[in-house]
Amino acid sequence: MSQSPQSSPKASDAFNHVGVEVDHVSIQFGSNKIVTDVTFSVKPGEVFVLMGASGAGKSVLLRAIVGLIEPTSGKVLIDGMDAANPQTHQKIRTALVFQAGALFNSLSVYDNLAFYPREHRLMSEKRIREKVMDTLKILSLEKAAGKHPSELSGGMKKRVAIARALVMEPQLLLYDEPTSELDPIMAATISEIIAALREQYSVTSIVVSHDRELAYSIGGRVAILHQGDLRTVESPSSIQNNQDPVVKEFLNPEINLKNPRFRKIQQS
Amino acid sequence: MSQSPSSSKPSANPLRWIMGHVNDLVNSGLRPLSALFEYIGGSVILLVRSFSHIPVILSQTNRIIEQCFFMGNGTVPIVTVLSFFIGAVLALQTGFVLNQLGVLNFIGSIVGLSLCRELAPVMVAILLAGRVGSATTAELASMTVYSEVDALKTMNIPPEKILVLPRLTAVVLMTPLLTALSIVSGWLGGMIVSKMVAFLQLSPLLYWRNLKDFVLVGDFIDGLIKAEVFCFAVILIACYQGLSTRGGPREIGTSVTKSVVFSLVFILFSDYFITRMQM
Ligand SMILES: Nc1ncnc2c1ncn2[C@@H]1O[C@H](COP(=O)(O)OP(=O)(O)OP(=O)(O)O)[C@@H](O)[C@H]1O
Ligand SMILES: [Mg+2]
Repeated sequence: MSQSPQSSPKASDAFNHVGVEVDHVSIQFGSNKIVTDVTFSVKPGEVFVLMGASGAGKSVLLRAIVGLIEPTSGKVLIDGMDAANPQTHQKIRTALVFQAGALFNSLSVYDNLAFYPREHRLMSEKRIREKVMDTLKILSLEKAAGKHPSELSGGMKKRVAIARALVMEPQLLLYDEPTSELDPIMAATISEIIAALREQYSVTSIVVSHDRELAYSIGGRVAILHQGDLRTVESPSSIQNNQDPVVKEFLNPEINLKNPRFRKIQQS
Repeated sequence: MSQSPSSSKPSANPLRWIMGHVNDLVNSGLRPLSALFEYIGGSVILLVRSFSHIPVILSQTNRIIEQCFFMGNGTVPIVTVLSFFIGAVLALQTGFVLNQLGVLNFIGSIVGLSLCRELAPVMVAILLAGRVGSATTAELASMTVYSEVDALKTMNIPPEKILVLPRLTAVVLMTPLLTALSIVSGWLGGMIVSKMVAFLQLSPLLYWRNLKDFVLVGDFIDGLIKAEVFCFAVILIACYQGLSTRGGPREIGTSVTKSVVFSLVFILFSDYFITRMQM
């Protein structure tokens, strides 16, 4: 996948290596605190995996990083520039794979992928065609090119959303649970794609995922968000030996039929 | 609306009880007012943001043409038919009275002027709100609720540029056509009724002569200005309402209703003031 010449930076530019600083970020909706004082930094060209219980605030944090919501306090810096400022995103190409896909429902799969390069007039229709079909092939979606999102299965929608982000050739790529609806082989393919993008183009990735295999195999560092708090950030090998009971329970929950969790909750 | 505790019953301190009620009254009176200001402010901001993309409007030519077709398709048939009948009824009603007064040929001027200055613009705007405004709100609301608008933003494609500006441009282009169509169709309706109905039997020649004597180019232009204001507002309201929808399917439905109701309210309110200004 090559960067097009008209669009700002080339793949080889040092500029392409984009780091992200999340600096004391708190986010609340009304009086409802979702994320409290989270600080971490993602190094340029790193694959950063963010894990955490459902409802912990991971998707909200990703939205703050792409500038869709502004933190209540604190800052997100992308390459030193404020993520809440729209100009930052004009300088740095950021793509987000939404948890629910957020595909354009009135457009076919092909047009969904072609939308970004067409709108920004990045390349000729012929180049777009090659690029879109290549990307679809990688994700085994060639047959779905003419279909509309409503005609796709959940996992196919997810893959189309990933494909749409890949076509954008972003410098910073955020994935919200990219493998959650996929079969094990497709999940492994996605992990391989994320790792390959990092190796070939130094794309910085932040991956929100519950997929431990993905985290351990391609994660540069893994963070765990627990009830809006960052519990730990460390390398995959060390996090597996973490003694913090919350982390331990999260990464290796035991299925205990004698004393199930829901019974404990019912009794308390 | 939350009841303030002080207003529940006239307890120990009557002054506090009264003040509580005054407070409630002011609150309940101000809330819709502040909502109204928020609505107007939001629409104006949307308008300004859309207009900021006018320099690149040519890149949206395809979308503008598409919207023109959409508006034409949705409204041309119904505008033609309904205007025809409005003109017809107007001729019937006024003709009945004018006939008794012995000035039957004034049907032409009455039908001509009322359609041109008043009925055609209002009718076109109302039909546009019902057929195009509602559809626009539904489409934009569903795009907002299902994060498609967020996806556009992350792609650095301002939703105002590709969703709002083409629609506003299309409505500016289409309104004169629709209004002219409505006027002419209504005039024809009036003419046919004046000729055909047994107790009228006004010759088309007299009808047109009277109409031509009274309807001036200025009347036509006043009508077009009115229609442009109404129709532009209908589409702006529809877009704003759609893009500010939060929630799920039910809120999409509510938004569509609101969009049509606000449009109608705006049309009839502003109609009075514009008419007054044009006199
Ligand atoms: N727009 C919003 N308005 C109000 N509350 C919200 C909004 N978006 C999210 N929340 C709340 O924020 C919390 C975190 O949501 P978020 O979507 O970030 O969870 P998550 O960590 O991504 O969970 P999951 O793994 O299930 O996707 C939830 O309690 C949710 O109710
Ligand atoms: Mg989520």
